[in-house]
Amino acid sequence: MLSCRRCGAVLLQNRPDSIPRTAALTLGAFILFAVVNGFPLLILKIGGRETSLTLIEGALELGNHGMWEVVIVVLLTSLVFPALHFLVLLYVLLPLTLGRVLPGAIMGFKMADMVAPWGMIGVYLLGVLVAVVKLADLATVVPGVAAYALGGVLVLGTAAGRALNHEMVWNRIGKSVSCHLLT
Amino acid sequence: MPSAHLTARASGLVRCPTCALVSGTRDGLLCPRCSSSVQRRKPDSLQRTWALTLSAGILYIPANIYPIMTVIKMGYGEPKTIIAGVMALIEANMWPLALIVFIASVIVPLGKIIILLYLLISVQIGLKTHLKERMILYRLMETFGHWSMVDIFLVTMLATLVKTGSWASIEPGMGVTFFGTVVILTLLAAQAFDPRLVWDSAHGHL
Repeated sequence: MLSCRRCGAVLLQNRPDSIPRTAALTLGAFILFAVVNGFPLLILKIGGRETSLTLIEGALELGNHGMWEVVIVVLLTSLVFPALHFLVLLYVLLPLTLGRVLPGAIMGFKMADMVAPWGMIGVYLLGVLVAVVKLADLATVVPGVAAYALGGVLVLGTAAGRALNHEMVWNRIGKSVSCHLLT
Repeated sequence: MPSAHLTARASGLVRCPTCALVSGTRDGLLCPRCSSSVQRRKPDSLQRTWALTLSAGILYIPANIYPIMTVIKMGYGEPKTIIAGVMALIEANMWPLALIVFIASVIVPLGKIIILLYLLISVQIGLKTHLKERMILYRLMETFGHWSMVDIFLVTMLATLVKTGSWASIEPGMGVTFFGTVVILTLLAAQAFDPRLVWDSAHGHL
């Protein structure tokens, strides 16, 4: 491990089998994220009636109240950016496990880094938890399949982030640099 | 105290902001490995961070005054602000959750604005102490900054679930837009700030 002498930030860390591991974990996260989008997150039962909520319905709801700017922010942070992050990582990493680099890999990897801080799956999951508690005295609320899947996405996505060795990926997909000053 | 290490900047080297390659590329040219634009310091970092932080600070006021949602029960509407949401959890004896929500929706956004102001002012007056501590504050802010979004997500979920029943409905309020804007602005401000300026200013070359 290599860290900055001045502020202590980690600069470089060896991560074993980084590329296949990150690819596998990201693939798992992506598949689970598809499950999240196909099933209800929360199911509310009152009397004989049931109301459910999916991720996309939740994101679009505030449009009914004319708050489109909020819709855009929620849609991007809870759905578009996480999905895009997993997709571009897979596009770069899966071919790399076979030693291949697809066209646009540099742009893809840049994009993955750019959208990563804006994906907020963990925060969304906390929101689901708070919603269950808040509604508990009004009605029966149960977390749906998507809520558990979202927990899985969070675990696998975080593990993928920990396994990723940026320096190694950049060395494989970037233009070859003759004199490495720090790698 | 500022320590005298040999820095990349003094050696005419630049670190690529995207792929972290350290090279002798001149300011404003492209990184030899990933072709990103390479700059010694984030451009106009102080001005941009000031603008974003002050805007967030101003909008923080309406974000807390206006209700983020109105709970309508049997025709009677009860507007709720962000603080009221935390209070409701405390009254329901949900202490652990109340604490998490209090941290996420009050401490984090307010703390971020205060930390940003402290970083900006300390850099501008050339403060020479607490360099590492200021870096820890910056990293804390980057790590926890987005957790305030929980309120926005919560309102969208509650409004979707509780709308058709005759027993109650939950309507989003104006506070959501203001609060969401505050969160986004503080995230952008943290990104715009270049932590290396802390050392630059302590060494007197800002």
